[in-house]
Amino acid sequence: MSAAASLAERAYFAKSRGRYRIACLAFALSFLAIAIRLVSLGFTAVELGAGGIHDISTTVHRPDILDRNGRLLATDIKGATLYADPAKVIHRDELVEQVSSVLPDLNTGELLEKLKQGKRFVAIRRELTPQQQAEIYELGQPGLGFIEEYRRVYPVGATAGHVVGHVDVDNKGLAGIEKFIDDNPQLAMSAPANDTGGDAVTLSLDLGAQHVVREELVNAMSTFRAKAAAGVVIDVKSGEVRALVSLPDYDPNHREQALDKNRLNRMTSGVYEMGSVFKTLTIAGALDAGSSTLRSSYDASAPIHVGKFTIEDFHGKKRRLTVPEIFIYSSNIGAAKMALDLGIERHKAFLAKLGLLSRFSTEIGENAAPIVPSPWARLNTITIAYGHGLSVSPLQLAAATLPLVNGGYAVTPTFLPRPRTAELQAPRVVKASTSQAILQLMRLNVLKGTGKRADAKGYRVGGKTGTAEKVVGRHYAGSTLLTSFLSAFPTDDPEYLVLIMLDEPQRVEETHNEATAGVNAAPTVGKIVERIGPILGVVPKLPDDQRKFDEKVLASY
Amino acid sequence: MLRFINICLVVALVAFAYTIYDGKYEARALDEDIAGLRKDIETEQDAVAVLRAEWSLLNRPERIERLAAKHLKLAPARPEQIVTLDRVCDRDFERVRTEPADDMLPTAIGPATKVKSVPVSGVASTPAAPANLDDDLPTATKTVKVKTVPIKASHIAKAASSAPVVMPPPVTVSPPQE
Repeated sequence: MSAAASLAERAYFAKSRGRYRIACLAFALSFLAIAIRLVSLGFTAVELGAGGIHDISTTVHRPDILDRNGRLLATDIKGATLYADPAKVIHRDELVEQVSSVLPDLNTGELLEKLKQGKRFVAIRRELTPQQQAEIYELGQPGLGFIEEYRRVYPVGATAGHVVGHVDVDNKGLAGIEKFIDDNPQLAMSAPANDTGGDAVTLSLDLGAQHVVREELVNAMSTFRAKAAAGVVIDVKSGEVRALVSLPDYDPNHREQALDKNRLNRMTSGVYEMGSVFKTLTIAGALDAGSSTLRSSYDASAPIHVGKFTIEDFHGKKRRLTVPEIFIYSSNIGAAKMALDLGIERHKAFLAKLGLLSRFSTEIGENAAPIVPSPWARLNTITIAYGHGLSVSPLQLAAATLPLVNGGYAVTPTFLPRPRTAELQAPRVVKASTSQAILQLMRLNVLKGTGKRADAKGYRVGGKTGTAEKVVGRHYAGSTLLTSFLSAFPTDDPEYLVLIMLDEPQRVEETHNEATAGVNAAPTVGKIVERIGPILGVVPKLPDDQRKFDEKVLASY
Repeated sequence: MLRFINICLVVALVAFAYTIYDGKYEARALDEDIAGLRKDIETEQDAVAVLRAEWSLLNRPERIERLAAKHLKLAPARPEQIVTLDRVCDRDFERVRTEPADDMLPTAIGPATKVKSVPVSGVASTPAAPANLDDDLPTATKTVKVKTVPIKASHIAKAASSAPVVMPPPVTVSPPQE
């Protein structure tokens, strides 16, 4: 070995050691990079591909709607929508034929046409039943798929239809509380979750009372052969609506029914001349302003002539009547004279104070605007005194009556829960003494006047009948009537206001060929109160001699 | 020495690798479990929603009313049947007590001596103390007090004011076969 060679070798080694280190460093760095990448991959969550074609949801989830006792009025369940992807379809005709074997009412021609157009998505049918879905799945046709969508169902159907409202195919609220929920999303957020962990909105409605009112109105409609009927029950102290029915109604599960004009909500969307129930307001106004007292009397022996109009009494007594008599005999002449005594301006101002002259709205939407005469002349005051010439929605009338029976507080009706102390925050619009007097008159009318048939045993009902002639063409027609009964119970400490209305009840044998409110609207209210009293927890009171302590009740103690 | 350290390191590396991969696979399995459970929960929630809708459909007032009219011998409570406790006086109890005791029992029920244990399905396999079963009695059975007990309104008032008054246990009489 030569020294030179060994020297050269050593130099070579020294040089290659440098390269060797660089190579090692490069390897180390790349392995480090790989390691870091591996660790970072390990930390990122693995997105597991959800299997199948059921994972897309296009519709929004809506909160459940419950009545005040937690009974379900509306909820979401999942339903499948069937679609086809024309790009994946192999035999169009075969596919259409097989699908139509499961869905017999399918428009095959239209579907075939759509498939030929060759888009990537053709919706075939929404809201499949699980049964249909399974059958279509069994077909095993390529190119078909399902999308899971929420579908709104209303288990109680038409019973609460007008209040709850309905949604469109995309689960958007179109009417009633459903629309209100869409406009106020905070409602569902503030509410406690239901037992499935979802959102829920609780209403003031009582499903039991709602059912009773509806059933009694259905009975009344068929017994008196009325064209339509409507009724509302409101808690006078809180303004909570416990029941609201308008017949004919619609089933929100079949939203197309809502388009029928005849099924509109007459309580809020129709305006009517309500007739003699307005005398309650006239007398309240006169008493509140002090222009009359319960002891005042008015000459009702002769009709009033204004221009070419003559105002007469239906239950004419042809003599001087005191204020209670005007109320219980429903004297048009007396009411008109009281309103004139009150004065045109004060009469108008009183009705305005009760909110009857302006449009008002609730959670289920705006009420139809009242039709107020303009200019408001002496004749208007005279006719409005007994309920003609001013058209209002029945719910608005009920709202205006609340202060007259709850001690004078202007409580607004609501469909959401509200505590009973609410009345203390509401502004006072009439004196407590006026409210007291009106309640006495209402009770008197049920004991001795036109409302006798409304006296539900034990529930101290008080009320006023109203029989209005409807305008047919350009004249009031004596045979087409709108009867109503405006009542509160129990009159010694009112808890609930009940207003019902029957549209064109006929003279039937059951009513001895009469068609006035006293024989159809009043007994209907009597039946309603008798049944909703226990449901709403109103304690019946009977004189001691009628109270029978039941042996069987005692035996079960 | 160096070799020993190297061997140790290699062993340690393998051990670490094993542990880490094991942990990782376990975690992934758990992740899959979670995803599966989430899916199950969702399915169950959907099922609950359907069942709730169905429950409420079956509980429609008109249906319950129809069924009650068909199967129960009950009628809506009349106003005279609703009595608050403070309106019950001793006289009412006296009146009932002085009347023949048999009238107290609903007439359809057999002689009062036929005292049996409560026929609660599944619960009362042994003769249970009937005192506790007041609340879960099936609607078909009727609880009736022993007729000789002098009941006074004051007793009930006391019971209502939370002091536990010694009340004799109710004896249950089995109803006639329906």
